[in-house]
Amino acid sequence: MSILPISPVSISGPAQLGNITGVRASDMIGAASPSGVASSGSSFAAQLDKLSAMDNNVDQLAVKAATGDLQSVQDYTIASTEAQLMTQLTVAVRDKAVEAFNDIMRMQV
Amino acid sequence: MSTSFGVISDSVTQALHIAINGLDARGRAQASNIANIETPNYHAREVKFEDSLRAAFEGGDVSKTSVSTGESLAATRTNGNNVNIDFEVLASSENVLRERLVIQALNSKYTLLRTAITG
Amino acid sequence: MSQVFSTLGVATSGMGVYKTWLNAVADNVANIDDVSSTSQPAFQERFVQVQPIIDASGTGFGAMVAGAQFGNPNGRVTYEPTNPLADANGMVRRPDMDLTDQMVYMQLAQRGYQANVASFDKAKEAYEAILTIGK
Repeated sequence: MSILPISPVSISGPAQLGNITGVRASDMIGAASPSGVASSGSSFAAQLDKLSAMDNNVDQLAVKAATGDLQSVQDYTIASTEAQLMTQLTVAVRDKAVEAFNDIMRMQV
Repeated sequence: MSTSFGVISDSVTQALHIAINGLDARGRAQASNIANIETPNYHAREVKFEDSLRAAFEGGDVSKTSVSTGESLAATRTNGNNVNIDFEVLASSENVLRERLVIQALNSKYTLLRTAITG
Repeated sequence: MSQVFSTLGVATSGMGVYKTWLNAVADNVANIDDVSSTSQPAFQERFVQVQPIIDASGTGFGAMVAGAQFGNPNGRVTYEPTNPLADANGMVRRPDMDLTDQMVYMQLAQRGYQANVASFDKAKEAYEAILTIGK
């Protein structure tokens, strides 16, 4: 049997992603926190930034999954799981921070 | 790789993620070999990553792992093909089991974290 | 198949190749007792040309049938004077094939097909495991 040279199937690159718009979970957590807790520069604000970055990453991977451009399925499932956990952690930290904040506010009356 | 900056994701989850990437690549190489058992001049493809992952993990930076795909140098038959079908079939069964094990390890870590976070 | 679950496409292409080969061998076996007159070509053995093809992810190789080849049109000229198709010298043409070879090919093609069916199932299992992450 003879063999013909390999001609690769042309593979189109991932779809160009425009800016992903919409309210992020991290925005909502920030908005639902008293300004004392989520003030910029605080460590909590830094955590919100991390969460926002994770949310962006998950959204980009989700779009790739939808358009069929996702090469490694595990990239999406892992990013999604870790973003979920980070969200839960951030909310738990925020609740603790709000509790502490309220305690302090009560003290100052 | 993960953007959770060491809070949710540590070197172990990253190592597990890389292992899944490696096993996924190996599974694809094995499927390629099985599709090409009788293709003339086709050389079996093999994936290596475990040694690189071990070295990178011990060196403190898991992201330095390289998953590499190469051609087997095993002897070829008269049509130039060197795929060993029995080996590929067995190896691909083993590969699925390993992937399930690694995924189970990853899920266990996530469950632990979730329990700790949600109380 | 898309590149999201690209290994499935690799296995599917393998199944296609062995199915085609199986059909070619079945064709050969069905015609192995063909007799032709010497003024006609004999039944020509069907061969399948296989080549690798880069898969949708760009990192794997499926397989495809690039084309078909046909064997010796002269066949085997044999002396069968009583055959109604025999020429003036009592010669006819029979296909230049052996049944034993075709049976070997049939076994190889069947084994190849089944191996690719199993390969598809294993790939599916692996993807399903990945989809349990975080659940």
